[in-house]
Amino acid sequence: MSDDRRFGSLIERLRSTTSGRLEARHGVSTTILALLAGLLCGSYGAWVTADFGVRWPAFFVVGTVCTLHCVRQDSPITVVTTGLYLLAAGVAMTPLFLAAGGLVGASAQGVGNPWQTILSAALLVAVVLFGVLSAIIASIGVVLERLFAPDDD
Amino acid sequence: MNDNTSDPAVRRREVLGAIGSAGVVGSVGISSSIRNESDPHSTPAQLDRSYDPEDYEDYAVHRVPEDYSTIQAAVEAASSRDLVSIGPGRYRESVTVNETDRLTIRGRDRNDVILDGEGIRPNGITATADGVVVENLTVTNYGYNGVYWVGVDGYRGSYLTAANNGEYGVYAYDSVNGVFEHSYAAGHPDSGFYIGQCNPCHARIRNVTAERNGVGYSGTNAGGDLVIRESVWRNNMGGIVPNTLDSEQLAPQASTHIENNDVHENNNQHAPATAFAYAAYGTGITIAGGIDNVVVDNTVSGHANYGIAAVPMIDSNVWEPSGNVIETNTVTDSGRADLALGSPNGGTNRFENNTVATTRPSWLNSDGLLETAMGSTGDPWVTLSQGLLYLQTELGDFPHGDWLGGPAPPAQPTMDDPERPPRTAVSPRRNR
Repeated sequence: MSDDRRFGSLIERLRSTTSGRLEARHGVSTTILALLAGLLCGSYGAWVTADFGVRWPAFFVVGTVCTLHCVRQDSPITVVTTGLYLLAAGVAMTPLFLAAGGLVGASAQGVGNPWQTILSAALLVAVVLFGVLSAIIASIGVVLERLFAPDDD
Repeated sequence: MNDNTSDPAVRRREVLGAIGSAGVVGSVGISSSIRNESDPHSTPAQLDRSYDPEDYEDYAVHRVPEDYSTIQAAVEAASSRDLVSIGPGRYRESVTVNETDRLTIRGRDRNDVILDGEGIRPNGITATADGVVVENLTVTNYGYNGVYWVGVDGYRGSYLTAANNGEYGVYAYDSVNGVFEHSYAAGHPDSGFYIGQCNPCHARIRNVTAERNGVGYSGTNAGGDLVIRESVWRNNMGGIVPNTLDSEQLAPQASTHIENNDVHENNNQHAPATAFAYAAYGTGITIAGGIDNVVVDNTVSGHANYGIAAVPMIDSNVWEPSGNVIETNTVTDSGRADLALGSPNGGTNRFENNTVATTRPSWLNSDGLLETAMGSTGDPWVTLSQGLLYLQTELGDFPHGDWLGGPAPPAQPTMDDPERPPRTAVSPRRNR
């Protein structure tokens, strides 16, 4: 059996076992998934903004926006993928929050040139690493989307 | 000038990997340390014992420049318990004490007796003999250390001013039973005061001031009845940094008692700094991979990153902070968080009854289950932010000043009676 046929068979089996749940139209499961996505994104938002003392506002704002965006999706699978895309966007922005936290902290203490401790090759490495992590998360979303996309024919 | 890399301590420090990165409060009886003295990490952070020196009765006085033209000549002529008394002047020499134990080297005026390395001599005063005391003088412009004890039992530095030396100001390595007191250190790329590779150290640092150094205090793999108290740590790159490194023996760092210090504004980008010191930039007290330390009743304020942080040390091994007690400190005006615990950590770190506004992770300073959970998990953000600082030193330049040519130290209080009899390093002596 060729790899293509084997992979196609795997997709068919996954579809047959999960289609009842993931391809269903909007329902309780969609809402629960949207809430979980909101919780995850809100927690991440709280984590990256804690340096600014806005941990809880960030949790509620990011969580609410994420939940509302996800709950508008038609099916559980698009809720999951949308949540992953939003999380990937947050992960990609993490180095900016990391740098901004140091910048704001240094500025508040009257450090001469706070940019010197922020703009560095190390930050570039962080941008690349979190970019890769973000791409991995987004890729999972893409794979899931393609895996469970409705057949055109 | 000697190559700094010829010093074993320097070589060890240079293989530093990365910093990813203190219950028992108060005194406990000496008996508790005797119970398991063979375990290098079993001694508590503080023992109830006296470190007050006692006068010698039989001694001779060797005067410089009246009797000898150089300090080294007076040291060579001296016997155990003698006093080398140095008059005002600038002495362009390095002094070593290798044979004469319990010798006292004392300036008659702290601010006007100056040992000057001129940027070309390695160490101001080096002591490899036990019980050597250095008092009431200034050491400056040495390529490596101001005053340096190595491998000794008994040492004391009192009323010392160390300024603008190439690595450390006042430094004790692989040494036990010692005191640094009433001293001032400024302008050193590594640390103003350093005690390394000892456990139990049986040592005290008290009533000292460190400013404009890479870090104020560094203590690699040092602890066990080691107390840092009632001192000022300000305007350094980083404040107080007990730390673990694989490159020195006796890892992990354990059981240092840090009490009632004033630690503020250690964000000085113009301070000379090594990579190690820069990794502690903007944090008042950093426990880097240490265990069982006690940090209590300190006032910590004005730091760009964290007030008090416990973080893992990533070297050949990953050293996770555990069993540290941080309580009843007052921490204010920290950029990222007043209290912080990085992850991974070894758990059982306790942050209690501190006066703070912010913590990472949340609820770190709370009572109950949440505090216990947070004291076990920590926050990777803390490790990440500190790790980026070290990575910056590995990948490129980082802001720092130069040690040579730094500002002259301000005049410091001198000994009340520089003609008094010489005294022991510490009392009572242990392990002799």
